[in-house]
Amino acid sequence: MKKFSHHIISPFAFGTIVYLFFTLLYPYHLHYQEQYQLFLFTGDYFQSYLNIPGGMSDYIGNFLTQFYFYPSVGAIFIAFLLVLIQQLTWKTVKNTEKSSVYFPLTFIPSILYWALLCDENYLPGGLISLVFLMVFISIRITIKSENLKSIFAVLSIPVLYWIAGGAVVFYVLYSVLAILFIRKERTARNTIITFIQVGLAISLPFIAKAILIQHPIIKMWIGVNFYSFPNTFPFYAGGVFLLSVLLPFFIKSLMIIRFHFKWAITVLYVVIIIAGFVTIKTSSVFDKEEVMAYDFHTRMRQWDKVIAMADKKSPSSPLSVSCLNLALAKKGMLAEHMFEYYQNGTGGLLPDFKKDFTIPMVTGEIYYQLGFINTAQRYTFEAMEALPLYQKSARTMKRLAETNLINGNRALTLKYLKILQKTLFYSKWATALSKVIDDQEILLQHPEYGWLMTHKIQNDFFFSEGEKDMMLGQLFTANNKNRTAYEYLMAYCLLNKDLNHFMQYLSLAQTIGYKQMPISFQEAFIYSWKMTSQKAPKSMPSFISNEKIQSANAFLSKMNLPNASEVLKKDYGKTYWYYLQFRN
Amino acid sequence: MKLSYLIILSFSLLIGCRQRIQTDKVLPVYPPVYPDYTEVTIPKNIAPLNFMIKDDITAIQAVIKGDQNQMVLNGTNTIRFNLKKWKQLLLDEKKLAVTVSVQKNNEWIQYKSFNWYIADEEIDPYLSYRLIEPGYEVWNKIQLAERCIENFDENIFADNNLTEGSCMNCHIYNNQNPSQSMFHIRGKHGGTVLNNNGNLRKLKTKTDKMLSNAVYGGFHPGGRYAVFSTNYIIPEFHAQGSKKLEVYDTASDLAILDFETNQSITNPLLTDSLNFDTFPVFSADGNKIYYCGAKAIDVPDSIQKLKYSICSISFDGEKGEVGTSVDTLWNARMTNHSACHLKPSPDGKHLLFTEADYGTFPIWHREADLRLINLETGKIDSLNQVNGDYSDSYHSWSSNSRWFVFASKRQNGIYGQPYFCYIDKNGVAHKPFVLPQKNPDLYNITLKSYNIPELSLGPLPFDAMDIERLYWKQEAEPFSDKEI
Repeated sequence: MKKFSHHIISPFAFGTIVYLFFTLLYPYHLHYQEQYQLFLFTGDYFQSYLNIPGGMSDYIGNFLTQFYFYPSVGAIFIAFLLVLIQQLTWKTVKNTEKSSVYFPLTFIPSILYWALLCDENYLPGGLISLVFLMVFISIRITIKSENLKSIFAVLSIPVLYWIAGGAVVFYVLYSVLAILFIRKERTARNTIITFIQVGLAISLPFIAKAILIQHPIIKMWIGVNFYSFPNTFPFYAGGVFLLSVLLPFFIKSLMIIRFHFKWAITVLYVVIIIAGFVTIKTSSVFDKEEVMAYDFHTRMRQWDKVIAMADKKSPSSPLSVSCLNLALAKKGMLAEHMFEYYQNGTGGLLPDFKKDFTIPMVTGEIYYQLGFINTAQRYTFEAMEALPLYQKSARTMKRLAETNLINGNRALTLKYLKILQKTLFYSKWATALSKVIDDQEILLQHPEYGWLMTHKIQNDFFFSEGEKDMMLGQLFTANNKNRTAYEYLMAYCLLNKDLNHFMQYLSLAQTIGYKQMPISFQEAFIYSWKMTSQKAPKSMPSFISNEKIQSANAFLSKMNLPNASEVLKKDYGKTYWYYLQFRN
Repeated sequence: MKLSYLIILSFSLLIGCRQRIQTDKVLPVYPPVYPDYTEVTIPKNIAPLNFMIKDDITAIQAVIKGDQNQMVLNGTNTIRFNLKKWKQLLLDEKKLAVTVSVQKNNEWIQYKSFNWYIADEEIDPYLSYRLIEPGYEVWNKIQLAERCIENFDENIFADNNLTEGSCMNCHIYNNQNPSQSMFHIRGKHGGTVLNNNGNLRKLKTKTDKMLSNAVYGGFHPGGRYAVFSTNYIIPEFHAQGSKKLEVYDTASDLAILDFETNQSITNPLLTDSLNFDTFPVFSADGNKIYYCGAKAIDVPDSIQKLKYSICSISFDGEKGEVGTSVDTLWNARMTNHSACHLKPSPDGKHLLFTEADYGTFPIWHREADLRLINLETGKIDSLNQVNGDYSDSYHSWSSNSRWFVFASKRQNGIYGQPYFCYIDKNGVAHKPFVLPQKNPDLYNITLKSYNIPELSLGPLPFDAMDIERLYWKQEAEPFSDKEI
């Protein structure tokens, strides 16, 4: 049996680890990125990217991002590209240093870019740009004919600039370093060619700006969208590019190891593995991954998974708590179980609007499920508008089609569906919906659309962000069978510690038809009763269990102890009383 | 495989250009062409009216027949004209009959022919508009564009990509003349951009007596003055399905800006806190200011009672003085509706405006329609043949007063498109048509709304880089209140 060299085994192992990382540990980061892009299979879309320097890298990056819809597929591309960068780095290293002892060091650029990709704002277009850079350097190395090499050296500058943007600067840097450090490269012809390359690389952004006047000059220099936010200069990505170019010359400057070859290579592997592990561990933000997981399951209506996640570890960020509360409401468990989990006030029920693309997206999801279709549409549209880099989002486009469908705007629904029909993973859904758009009977039978169409608001009013309880009241008034709206209204009062309104709205519970009054309602009622009826004691209503009354008495008797918060946490930490007294 | 298919397709298209197909079925209805270009009146200098059929068809043929020319065009689902041949066709003919046939389920269906009526009067050849996604409070990319409507060339002359993402508003001309125009850029380094023959000035228009910076307005024909509203603008969001956004003023006044002295002229009649005054424009001769006025009421609670009348007040361009009495041209109380976006025709004969049920922001009012007042007779044309199902609002005249352009949301209620309408010598408005695009499917897939369409006689003498320089490098000129 042929013995595999470490040159084959280690890249394969590296690729496998990257794949497993993004598939098993970090899949929701991929879902997060996928939802905020909209790759269209149209000529106009392609041309819009081809029109600007670096656009080709972004186009390919976006093409790959759509596969993040299935992280197990998207991760294959990431793993492949990182291994490809390592292989190309090795090719450039071999050009300057024949010894393979430093092979493990060629993983450094790939590991560093992997670390960058752990930040959800680093986009794959930058990775593609790095691949293009390394491919061009590899071609440059491969060409033996001096004439061909010269032609390629000059022509490659505008081509690389156009497809990979500012990466061309590093390509020229490689040429300069090659002349300085590789003796055979140090010829008069190469020196002249390199001067031409430098001149071209400096002048191309200015030429591009003169043509594409509606873009800022910085865009002409950087080209590729390395980072979601265009105002953030991609220093770290630039650092990886620089390292990739410098690495061959750095390795060349290291001493040649002739003895203990295997030991040296083993030590280098160990160092790279440990450093790589530390780098990836420090770059990964699993708290964000958790919030993204909550958001993803909410988006996919996987309510059981949301609750299961919370059962494993109670969420604490407003976004994840709001996803959990929605899931509980959708499963009819909100009033009964909400205080079994950590609650962070009304912000964890209906987060306030912010001019960004994450919070309105999640909050819009809640409003949609409640039946506030216009508000859901507004939040979705605002989220889409807040997306940096003028990106569009498949998730928002889908939601806009849905809200317009429910609102009965056929033409607008079809417009959004038509756009989604140009995508890979949303096309089937869009086509299916467009076929039944005129069939009200089918739409009304749809478990979600049908319910929302029949429960939508009939009377107009202005939605007030500052009066969410009143808005929920209006929604419930429009349809008093809307249990989710009622429980949100009551939950809002409870979380806001507004027991007056809670008591006012409690009588409406009869329209919902609870078999037994939900626990949190009972707890709030007893507390309010105890606080207000002491002067004229009356018997407790029948919907309050004796067990709860006794429990309340015990809680109230200890409530004023100096360390009551700690004493009561064990037995009462999951009650409304505890929230009322001890949570902000 | 694909290549051979393309070759066959191209060859068949070439052949098809000369051959008419054998019809299997004739339908006595107009074809469902998109955009709806059936029975429209068009100017001689308009770009080709490329169109498509949205149905699931395999081929389309259009036969265009005039008195002197006949053209046969084929496509899969789209008909695109050669620009040169199209121009010649419009020059030669007064009327074109268009016969469309489509191949569906292996049979050719011929529809009833429709006509294109070619008006003698040309339309101003350039159109400026704002490209923006019709959002709520958050905006993303905003571009001010200029389109030559004789072909498909579009030029972006201001882009918020270059100005810190600032909002950019209404670009307006003085009498459709590109040598004088203006628009506002908001944001830290913003101001009102005034173009005088390409010489750009940035103006900080807010003075002590003004509520805000200049908002809606129009030039005096002499070019020295412009009249503006200054407003406190509040957006609110409807909860019910068919409505989207309500934008109203909690206060609004008028001011006249003097570009020579950098002074703001105000008048107690136009700054009274008991009234809301907005959308001012000068009359064609410059001797009057038309504006929308309403009694100040409690908003938003009584927003549905907020109805603006069309008022006028005299203006002396020599002295820069506003008159002392206000006339009411169109009384909201009589119609129980609200007026906005006033635009007198350059010949002074007509006043075009938008009428809505209430309020001052008709672009989100489905019922908003255009109305045309004959200023000589006072007669109001409800323009039924012009208005669509959704909001028809912002408009601008061609310099010859025989065409106007307006923003209509008739296609889906949200995304606006510019429509052109012909007014014949008898003052009758004809069926409007949407701005032609090279790809007729564009309006179906674009996420941009075409805002504030304004016609002009020629291209603007500045570009996006000039605006970028102005925004970043030029200090805004301050304005002060004129002592009265």
